[in-house]
Amino acid sequence: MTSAVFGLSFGRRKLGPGTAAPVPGSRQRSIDRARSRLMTGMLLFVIAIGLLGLRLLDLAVMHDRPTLGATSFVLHAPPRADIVDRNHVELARTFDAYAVSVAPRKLVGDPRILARQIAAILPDRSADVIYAELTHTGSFRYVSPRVLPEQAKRINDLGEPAITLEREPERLYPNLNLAAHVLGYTEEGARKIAAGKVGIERSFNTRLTDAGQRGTPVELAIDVRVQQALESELAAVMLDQRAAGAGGVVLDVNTGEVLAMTSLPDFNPNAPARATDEQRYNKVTYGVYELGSTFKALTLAMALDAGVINDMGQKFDASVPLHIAGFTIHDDHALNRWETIPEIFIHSSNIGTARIAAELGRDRQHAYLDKLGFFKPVAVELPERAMPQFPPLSNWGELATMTIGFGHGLAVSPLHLATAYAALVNGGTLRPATMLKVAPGATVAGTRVFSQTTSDKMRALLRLVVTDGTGRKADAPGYRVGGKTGTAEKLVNGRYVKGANVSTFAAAFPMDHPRYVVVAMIDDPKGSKASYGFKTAGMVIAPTVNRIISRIGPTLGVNPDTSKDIDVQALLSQIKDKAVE
Amino acid sequence: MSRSFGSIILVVAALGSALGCYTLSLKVSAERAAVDKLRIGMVADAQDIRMLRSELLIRARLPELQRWNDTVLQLSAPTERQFVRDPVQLAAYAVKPGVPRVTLVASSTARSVAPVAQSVARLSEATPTAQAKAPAVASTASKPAPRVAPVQNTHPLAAGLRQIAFTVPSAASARAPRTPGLDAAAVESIEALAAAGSAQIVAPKAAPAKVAAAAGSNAVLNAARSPTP
Repeated sequence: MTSAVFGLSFGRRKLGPGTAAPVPGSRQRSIDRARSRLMTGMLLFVIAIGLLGLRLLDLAVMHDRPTLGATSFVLHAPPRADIVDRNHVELARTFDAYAVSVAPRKLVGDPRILARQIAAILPDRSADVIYAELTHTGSFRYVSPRVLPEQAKRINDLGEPAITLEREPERLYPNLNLAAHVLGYTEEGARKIAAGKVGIERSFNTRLTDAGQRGTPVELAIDVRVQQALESELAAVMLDQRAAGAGGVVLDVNTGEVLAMTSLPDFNPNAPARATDEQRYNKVTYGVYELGSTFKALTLAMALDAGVINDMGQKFDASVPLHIAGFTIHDDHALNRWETIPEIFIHSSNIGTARIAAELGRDRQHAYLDKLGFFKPVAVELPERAMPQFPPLSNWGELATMTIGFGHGLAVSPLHLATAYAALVNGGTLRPATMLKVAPGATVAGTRVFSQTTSDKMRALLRLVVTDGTGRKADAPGYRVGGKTGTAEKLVNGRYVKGANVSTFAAAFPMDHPRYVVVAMIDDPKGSKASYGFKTAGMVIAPTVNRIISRIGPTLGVNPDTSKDIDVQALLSQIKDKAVE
Repeated sequence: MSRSFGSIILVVAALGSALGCYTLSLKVSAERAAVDKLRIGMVADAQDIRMLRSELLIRARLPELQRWNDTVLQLSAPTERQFVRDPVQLAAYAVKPGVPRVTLVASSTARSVAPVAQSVARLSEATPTAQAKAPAVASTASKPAPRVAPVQNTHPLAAGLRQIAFTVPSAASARAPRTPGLDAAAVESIEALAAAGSAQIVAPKAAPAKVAAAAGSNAVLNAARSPTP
């Protein structure tokens, strides 16, 4: 009976001899009841098993594994990927910093006493500021968003239950100001680490925060050793010249990789709020300047490529200043005679270059500049890029053609100039600058701007400027440096500032087999004892480029060798007078 | 009766297997918990390592090293003269005035003579002084060598001697460049040989054992160390 009630039956029940026979109707009812109970029980079991099966299926298919496994490492990857240089030196990283917060409504102790105690532990926070946070009407306030571990421990030892210590991800730039304009920074505040605001942090924000990739650092083309050399040398000359600023870039001519880029004055990306707008301003990509005589190399290359110049002995009239459209073009180091191409270049003759540009013509000049990318923001992965300033084609007459020929009337960024010089010496191919590391041996696509022959001739001419021209102070022994000086009057709000220069030196080395371009500029140098009071590029920035190349050459695998050089004898035969610096 | 026992056995077996599975499951869970604990520990350690590396990176940051160099060390970039292309050129830098001419003793076997000739010829490329005399030396050396041993073109000492970086400028001129694996006395002998512009190769009458030992990668240097007659 009991087993029948619970739906359990072990074999057929047998009636004993003394057992009274059940009433037929009652027995049938019992059997039916037992069957219905049995069916109900079975149904419940089936439903239960079905539910369990469905749940198992749901867990197996629809959900991730609930336990900590190999994925836990991914879960513990930093919330924002690291940024490293080309040799895997960390430039930016995320780590868990201590933050001290308070729930003011739950405060137990006396806020005034507590504020004094905390202020004694955190010297950069005053007791009044802390008191204001402790007595705030809100439910959550930061006492300090970042404290040292020992400070966190001491605050914890105060025993105030309303004060909590939290570990929050913070972005850290271990080298402080180094490459600050390249790296940029994230939104300020520990909770906003996911949003890059400036520089690489902004342009690669999606990549840096992608859950699948944030365990792998972003590799930049920057080499911190080269970056440090560039920054320290430019900072030294800026200090010496009491200049308003300086900028520089080192570029690989074959890949377009930016090995170093700096803009001075700079800032500490760990505390960007303390930086001024001037410090945050990236002169190399966001600033546009008339870069003066450094453009003459481009004009000569255009003329050589277009067949305007067929022979290095070809002469142009630089005997008298050139009067055109009410303006007078004159030379700083006038020879007052007809000059050959090497003479025009090493003496940096404005008149000679203007005549060459005029022969080249507006349309061809415009086409070459367009190919060099001078009419659009420089091609690089940084978000801070400015539009070059140039006259509209309707206003681009002969005068503009001439002045642009020697670097006036067209303002571009120093990185524009660096990529153009790379094309000038690498065989004539323009490759866009890149902040990302290119795999060794990889071929980077480019656009042909000049022919190989033009490039070869320009390499010799650039070397000649350093051996016998205005850039002699840039001649780092053994590194076969070639380059061109450029001194232009500073342009502020569309007006030239009298007595204020932007001195630039665009260099490449080694000229027998060019590998790197160095462009350095200094904004408004005042002259110093070291430059004998001069403010020209040859006296101010060329020695700096010399020191930069001497420092970075061995680092980049270019060892000095005086037994090698590019042959400039053919050009020397076309020169009567050596240039002054 | 047997049917009832059969059912009981089935129930016991089912219970036993369920209990066994449960025990196994418990054990697996315990093992998994231990592994997870280990993994959590590893993650915590990795985070600690990151923290320590952060501190190390900040303390050893390049601007700080530059500041130390500017104020204390005052090291400067190596100049062109501090780079050498090969050990022979390195040796040529250490020429001292007043060093007597060296008479080089060579063995009767061409094995020791041939490298000498080769080395002198290479030296002549590096030093203008030796340039004029080198062909004569080479021809002199090759005369008593009818049995020409295989000449070793690769000089083992050249490895790793491409450059000397960051030498204190004031001390640079006073010190001769030091090369690992290069015997100072032997270097001086070779340099003297180069400075003199000629070498007198004498047919060996003594010390054949030492000359024999010269066969090998350092044949030139060992030969130069042999006693002069």
